[in-house]
Amino acid sequence: VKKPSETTRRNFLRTAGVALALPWLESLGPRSAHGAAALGRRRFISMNFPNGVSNFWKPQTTGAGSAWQLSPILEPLAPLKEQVTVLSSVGNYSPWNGHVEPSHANLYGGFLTCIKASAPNNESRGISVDQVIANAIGSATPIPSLQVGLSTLDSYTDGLPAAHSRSVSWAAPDKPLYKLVDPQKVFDTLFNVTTPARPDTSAADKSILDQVYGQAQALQPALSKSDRDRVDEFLTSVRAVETNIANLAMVPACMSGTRPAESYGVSQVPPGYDRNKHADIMIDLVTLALQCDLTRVVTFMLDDARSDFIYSFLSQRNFTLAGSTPSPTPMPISGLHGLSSSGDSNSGWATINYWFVQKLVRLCQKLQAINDGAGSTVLDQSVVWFGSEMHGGNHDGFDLPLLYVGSGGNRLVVGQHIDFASRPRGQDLANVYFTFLNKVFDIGVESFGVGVGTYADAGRRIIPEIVVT
Amino acid sequence: MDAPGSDADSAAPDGASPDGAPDEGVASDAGDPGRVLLHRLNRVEYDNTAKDLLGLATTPATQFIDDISAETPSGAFDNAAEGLHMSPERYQQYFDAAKSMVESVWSDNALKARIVTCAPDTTDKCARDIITAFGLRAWRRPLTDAEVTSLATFAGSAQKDTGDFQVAMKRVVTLMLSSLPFLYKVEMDPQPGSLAPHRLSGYELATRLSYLLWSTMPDSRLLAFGDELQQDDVLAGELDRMLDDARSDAFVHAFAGQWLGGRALAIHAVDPAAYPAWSEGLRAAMTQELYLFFTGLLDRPFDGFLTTDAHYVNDVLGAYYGLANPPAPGKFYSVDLPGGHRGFLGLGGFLTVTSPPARTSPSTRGNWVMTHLLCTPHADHGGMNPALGPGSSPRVALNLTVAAADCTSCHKLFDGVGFGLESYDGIGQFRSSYSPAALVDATGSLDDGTTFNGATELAAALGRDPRLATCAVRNTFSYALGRVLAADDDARVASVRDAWAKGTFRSLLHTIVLGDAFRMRRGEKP
Repeated sequence: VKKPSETTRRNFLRTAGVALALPWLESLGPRSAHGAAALGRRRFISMNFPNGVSNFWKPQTTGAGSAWQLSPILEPLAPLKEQVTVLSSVGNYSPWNGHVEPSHANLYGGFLTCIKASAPNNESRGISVDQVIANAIGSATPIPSLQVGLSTLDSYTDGLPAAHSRSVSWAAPDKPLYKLVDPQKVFDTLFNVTTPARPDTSAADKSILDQVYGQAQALQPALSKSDRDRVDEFLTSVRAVETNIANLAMVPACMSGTRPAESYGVSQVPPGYDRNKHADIMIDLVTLALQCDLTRVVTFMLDDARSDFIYSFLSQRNFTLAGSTPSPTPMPISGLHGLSSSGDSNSGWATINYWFVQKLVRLCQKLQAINDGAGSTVLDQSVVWFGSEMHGGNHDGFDLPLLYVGSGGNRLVVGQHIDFASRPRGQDLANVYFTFLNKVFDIGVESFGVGVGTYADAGRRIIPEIVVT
Repeated sequence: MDAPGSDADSAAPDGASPDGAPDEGVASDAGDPGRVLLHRLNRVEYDNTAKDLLGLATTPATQFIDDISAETPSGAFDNAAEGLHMSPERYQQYFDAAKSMVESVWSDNALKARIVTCAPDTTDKCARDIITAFGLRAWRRPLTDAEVTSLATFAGSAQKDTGDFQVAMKRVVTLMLSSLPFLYKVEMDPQPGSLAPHRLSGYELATRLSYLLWSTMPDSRLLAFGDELQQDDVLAGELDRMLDDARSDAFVHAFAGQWLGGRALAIHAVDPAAYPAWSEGLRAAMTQELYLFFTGLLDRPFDGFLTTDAHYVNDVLGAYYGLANPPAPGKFYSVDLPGGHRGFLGLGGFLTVTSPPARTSPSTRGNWVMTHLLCTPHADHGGMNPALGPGSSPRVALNLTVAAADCTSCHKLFDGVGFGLESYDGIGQFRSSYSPAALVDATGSLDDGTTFNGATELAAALGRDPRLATCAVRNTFSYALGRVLAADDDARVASVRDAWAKGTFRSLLHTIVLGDAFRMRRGEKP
């Protein structure tokens, strides 16, 4: 449901017809009303990377303020330290009832769902936390949620359905959303510029889709059950595109960017492909999407599960527990999975981890620069969830590298390192998501994920340590 | 064989039970052709089809969302109907591509003239002619009168709205390119609730054949046969014609590309620091060699799959394999390689694609062979990867790790195969030692206890294993039908394997294409 003030703002933007980049226009409407609306505009961004981290992730002490210091890998977060909370001794054990070695794909597939990903027939995979949020708040924006990623490799999938490794967002147990890796596709998704806009296009498109729909519908009675199901899928898709065309007039004309010149696909990258540039373009696009309030829910896969992408654009930093320094002579980094399997203290692996954190920082600093009204920034109103599906070379689903940036509108405690090691089984990842859903996004869920065995109670408890009271 | 145009009601199909209606639950009955789901074109098929239909050089589907879906069973080919779902995001891409391709066609008079073959008069005859002719190619079957009328009415109304015949034609072509009969391979069951097998129409069969061999729409010759294509001699003749046409590269690339690792090789990560001999030129040559090797097998007995000396080598590979007189740059030549590199297991491409970037992994190679060549896959957890360096034997470290982590029950079933290939490093170069102190030990064993020493003995052992031929048939059968095989397909696969008797891949394709599963279908219980 769109509030009148929203309509006014969008009308204004459309009338202006030019690049307007502010989701919050101070000049429009009574300040108090807009202030309230702005504070209600919370975002969830999940930025994930695979294969866990090397030894240099965990801060050595816990607490708030000067009681804890950033670890060598987290060092790029220094300018944001007061907006960061690092969580240690959190595990995604609940789907498996404790430790098993469930493979890269299983862990990644279950990272945002906390449900076992490879049960027979895949029947017990579930909805991911970002999609629960999108279902609750997605209708407020033209795009309920956005999934992007950087993997240009046809990555290894552990012999499991590829979606486990390549999709962290799940709309339903059988609906992996995958992600867009092509910057142009992301831009087009945001601004729907794939076809030249002409005044009569929408009506013409709609008349075509009506015919397509009618034909396929007429075919259905002559088909057997399973083929009818396939046609159903087709009809639903056609109808959704038709509805989207009808809704296009509502998209604000907020275009402060131009369509990227770069186009990448899986197994399709130009000579001289630069992963760092790819990441930066994607970060800019995600920023644009959030800035223009085109969506409030984003998942960003920095790489796919078990990626062995060769990060040769990075030169090794030499890590010790005290910090890291660039290698005096350039030392290109090799494949991520190979490094993550070559001992937990290798600097090559840590260098890739460090780069992941740099990309997180880049995104967060951009969000911090956007005024969201009432003295607040988009970062203040966001939870930027950052982490990996496994601890590290041990393939363990416990003591995951996890942190969040942003308090979600002053709902979450920030500026801390919290270690749940003193609890008998640490903390359950499902409880973290349960807390996000209930305490940041005010979605009254009774549980999240499916815990089994002694973990049957996972995903049902608020974690008081991270909630602002 | 039946005369063309005869239908299943009047003639029992070959191999069907006498009454032509298998009982339910007798799915393994060789007379039951099984079912293929309504089948969306995959990305390669879409691009090839759009290119052949419209004459454009664009490949819009390369930018589409991956065809792979969560429902795609592991190891399924990318043309398996089960995995080819539709979603709003996918349909948006199809719709956008249709509009954009139509704009491109209409901006090129020569291409436009292939579709707009007449000028309008006061009747809708020209529109109907265009729709009828384009429809036959776009929907890969003649349109019904009702369909032509409905599309002509749509075009007429668009012309009335815009006053522009060209705009009307653009819209109707966009409509046809956005329609289910273009985007899917549609096969109809006259009685959707009946399990009685019936023949595919000639157009449906032409579509199956064409997407099998060319990954694209049927050409005009194939469509012209109509139901005559169901005649054995016509079907066999067309199969050979199409296989001998250069467009059958699409089959080799899609089938061998997936089954034998060609596609994975093209993007496989190799660490240049570990292998200074590695280059992109070598990768390209190895990939091409793998495809040429498979193409050679089309007319060579399957017994040579693991043993033949015939390899296809260009100058880059000549140096790589250590030929005394490498061929001149450019072309590939069929040569007998010096010792060791025999058959498929001797291909540099195979040995590379089954290795991690900087070393060999007997587990990965072994499980790859078990999965791809013997159809006996084992759960792959992606590797604990004991600390291994290029200078040490993986056998010792692997055995220690496997024993310590209690993983032997699985690893003993496939590591042994990989040990037999340890004489080749991570890019397939022969070696007799890892370092001066660590000699290669290439003794290994199959999961049935057969022992061997080195690649040649391994190849001989695999050649004696009945699973090898069954697995080749299983993969070819699955790709040809474009569906995932289920337990009740075992009997169909066995029957094809026995009829084929380890002939050539060409004869295997003949056995499959002329068999019931390829030429027939049935409904299913409501």
